[in-house]
Amino acid sequence: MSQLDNKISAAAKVRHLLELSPQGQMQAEWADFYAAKIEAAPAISQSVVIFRLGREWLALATNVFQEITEHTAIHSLPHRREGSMLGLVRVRGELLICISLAALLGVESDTQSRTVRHMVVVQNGHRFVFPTDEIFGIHRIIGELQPTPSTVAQAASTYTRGVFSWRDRTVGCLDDQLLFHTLNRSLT
Amino acid sequence: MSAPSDNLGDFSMLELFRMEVETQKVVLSNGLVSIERDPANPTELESLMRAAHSLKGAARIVGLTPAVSVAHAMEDGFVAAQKNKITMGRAQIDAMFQGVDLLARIANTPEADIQQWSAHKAEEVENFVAHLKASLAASNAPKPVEEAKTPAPPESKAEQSSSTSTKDAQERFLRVTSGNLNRLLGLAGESLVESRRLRPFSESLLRLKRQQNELSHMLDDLRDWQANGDETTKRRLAGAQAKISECRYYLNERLTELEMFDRRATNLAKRLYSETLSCRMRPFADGVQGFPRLVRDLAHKLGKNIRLEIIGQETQVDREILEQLETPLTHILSNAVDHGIERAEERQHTGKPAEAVMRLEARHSSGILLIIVSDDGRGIDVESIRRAVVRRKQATTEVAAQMSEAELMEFLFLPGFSTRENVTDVSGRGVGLDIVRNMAKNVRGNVRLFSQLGQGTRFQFELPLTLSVVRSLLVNIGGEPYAFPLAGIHHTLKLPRAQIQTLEGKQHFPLHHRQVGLVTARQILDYPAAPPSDDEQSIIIMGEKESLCGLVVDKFLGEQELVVQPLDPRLGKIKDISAGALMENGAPVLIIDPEDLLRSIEKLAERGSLNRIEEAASATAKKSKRVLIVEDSLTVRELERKLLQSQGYEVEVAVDGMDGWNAVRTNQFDLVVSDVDMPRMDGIELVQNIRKDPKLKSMPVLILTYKDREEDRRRGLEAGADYYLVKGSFHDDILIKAVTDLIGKAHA
Repeated sequence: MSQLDNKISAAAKVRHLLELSPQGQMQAEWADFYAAKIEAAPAISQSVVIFRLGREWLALATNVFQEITEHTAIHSLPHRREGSMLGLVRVRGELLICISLAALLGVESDTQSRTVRHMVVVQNGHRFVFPTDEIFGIHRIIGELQPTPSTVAQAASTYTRGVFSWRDRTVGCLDDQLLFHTLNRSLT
Repeated sequence: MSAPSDNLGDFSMLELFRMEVETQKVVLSNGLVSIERDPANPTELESLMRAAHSLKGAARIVGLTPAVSVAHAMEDGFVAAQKNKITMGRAQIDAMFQGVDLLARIANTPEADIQQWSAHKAEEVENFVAHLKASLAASNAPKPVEEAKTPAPPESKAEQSSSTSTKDAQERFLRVTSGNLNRLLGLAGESLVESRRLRPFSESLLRLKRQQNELSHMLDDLRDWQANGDETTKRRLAGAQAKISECRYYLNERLTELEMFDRRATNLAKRLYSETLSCRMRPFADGVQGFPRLVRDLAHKLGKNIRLEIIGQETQVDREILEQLETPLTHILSNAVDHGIERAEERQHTGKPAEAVMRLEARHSSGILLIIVSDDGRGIDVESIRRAVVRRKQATTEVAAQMSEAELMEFLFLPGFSTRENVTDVSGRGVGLDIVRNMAKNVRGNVRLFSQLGQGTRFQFELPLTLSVVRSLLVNIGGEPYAFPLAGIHHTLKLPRAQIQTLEGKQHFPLHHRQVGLVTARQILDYPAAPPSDDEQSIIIMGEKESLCGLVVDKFLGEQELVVQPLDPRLGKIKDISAGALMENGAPVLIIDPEDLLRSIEKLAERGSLNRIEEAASATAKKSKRVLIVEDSLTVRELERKLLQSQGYEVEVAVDGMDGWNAVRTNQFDLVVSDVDMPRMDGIELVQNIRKDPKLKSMPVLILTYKDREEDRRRGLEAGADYYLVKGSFHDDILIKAVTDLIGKAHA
């Protein structure tokens, strides 16, 4: 009995709310809001995965990631051991090419780390595996990247699009296009 | 049982014919459209003729005589056009298009109605053939006469729609991309690896069980010790004892459950894996069902008595290879029935049984798939090839006289090469053996021809197993696992270090009263040398009887069947490695390429360390230009080498395209001289690879080949060769002139 009453009165209140015409001041305020010119460009946001190589904090665009796996044995390739090529590694039963980002970027990595993970990345159907010392997961960068400071190692700065701050650290955001281009060319 | 399975066999052949018609229809249609603009284009005419030829062969396998005559008439037309006897005008092309449509209609007839083409619809086929012939004959006229409206009966639309609606209900084949299948196989393999972890885990729990037992015993001791203690202690002890026995019971129960779970999971994973694996492989029998009938029908038609034996029907063959084998095998078998096998009277005259025997055999051997087609016919007269080679000016009489039998046989694989002039509708026309060779090349294999005059002929395909299973010996080299295909191993042994002798810086050991050279696998595969030890050495003996060599590995790990995984194609060919695989524990292992490895060993053994130092010294002192010769015939290779060396060039040789590709990437050369037809990687592919490589792309390449047709020359130059020289025309000074044109004299 009282429930029904409540319902009716709630419906009536909602109707009242919906039929409420905007009161003088409010209309003008909203009109001003929409009329105002947008001063700054809308904040750019991009999704990246943050990871650590030795003492460097780096990030790669989330959309190139296929998966992140535990560390498994890497088999080196005879006659191809120079440079950043680490060899082959098993991912879901397939043998994928494993590349040392640390060697490519010229940063030191602590290979003894217990948190080593394999990042499986893909572009145009071409896959690579990058071992990394630690992964911090997905982060959304709001706003523009800051220019790369000159303190970053020469090789690393080539592949860095810019940096951003995260938990009081400076993280370098890698240029995945250039990275894949270089790696694909260096293979054969 | 046998009747329905025969039916299925026939049905699947018709299905294959349908697919073949679908494919060739595209080739024919595109070709016809383009020769309408360019009637004399030899490349197009060639591909048209081959398409019609393939359809003819395929139609014969399924026993579709009407389709055979349609395709045959079309082929005749294209051949006539190739020989410039006729010109393909509009009327002729229209007629050809009708032929294409007719073939498609025949192919898409439901199984049950297929006989109508030999019955009440036979007239339509005859009309078409007559019409086509008339149309082709008419083209001889100086001006192609516009024909009266074609007498071919109009197609009935109703019939076409009925044929599509009654499409056979049974779907026997699913098309899955090999990428999908590879991923599926990978996942199945991964689940197998994961399931294998359960057993060690459940075994590790046994330790917990033991510890609980110990705890229980300790409590028992404590109870005995406290037998006279106060009641509270006793009660609490009893409580603890009850708790521990509860724990033991519970753990036991869980362990049994885990064990059962392990068994089920492993079993399931194994089945899943082998089932997925078998998707890639099909028994050889699946691909050869039509051949007995092909041989029988053909033999009857030619009045010969021939039996076809198929051996190794259950041999597992990669499905892609099986599909690609069909055309070359059809060709070889038809050829053998037509030319290879003598008539019964002739056979009896030479003391052979009246019934000829042809064998089609498939087996796995040393990590490769062998397909052997042999017959006991009249064989091939090597001398007639020698004469043909001279007649066709592909070599001088002197050079031809020096050629070995195997080298002469190679000529039969050249396009357009034939020792005979007459042509039948069964085979001939010089189409064929080059198609056979191309197929083998396409799957990175090879085909060889052996023959003894009067005794018979044998074709031997050596094809990769690709994703098939290979039995191999697992070894440890430099701390990493490698797999040697058992077929590539002569034998293995362990040798006390004392028995190894060193001579001029090279290691040897006595084996069967001979000295066998010894090389360490670490050296070949670029690992740092092992620390010296007095232990026994693990040695793999490889190679042929006369050139055995020993390879020292760190440790034998055992024998295992591996599922071959092709490496990422971006890696290209890795020297000494053929593929990858996963071991039972999921760790990656590399499979050795025995051919490559033997070559690497030989090179290492030949050179020795002393030689290498000398080479380096001479290179800096003189700096003569370096030329790489890539050629698979020993005679030609040596001829070219001596010629260029006499001019002062420094010459290295590679025995095939793959060897050459390895060489150019690891050494500095000023010029590459390459043959075209070679096993493993042909010259065209080599040139393309060189042109694609940023570091090598500007290196001059000269092609030197027997292939003298204009289209071959164009193909070579399009691939990026700087110079195309035909061996038939090659005199010493022409090659030297070409080389000096490209890179100047030996000492700049």
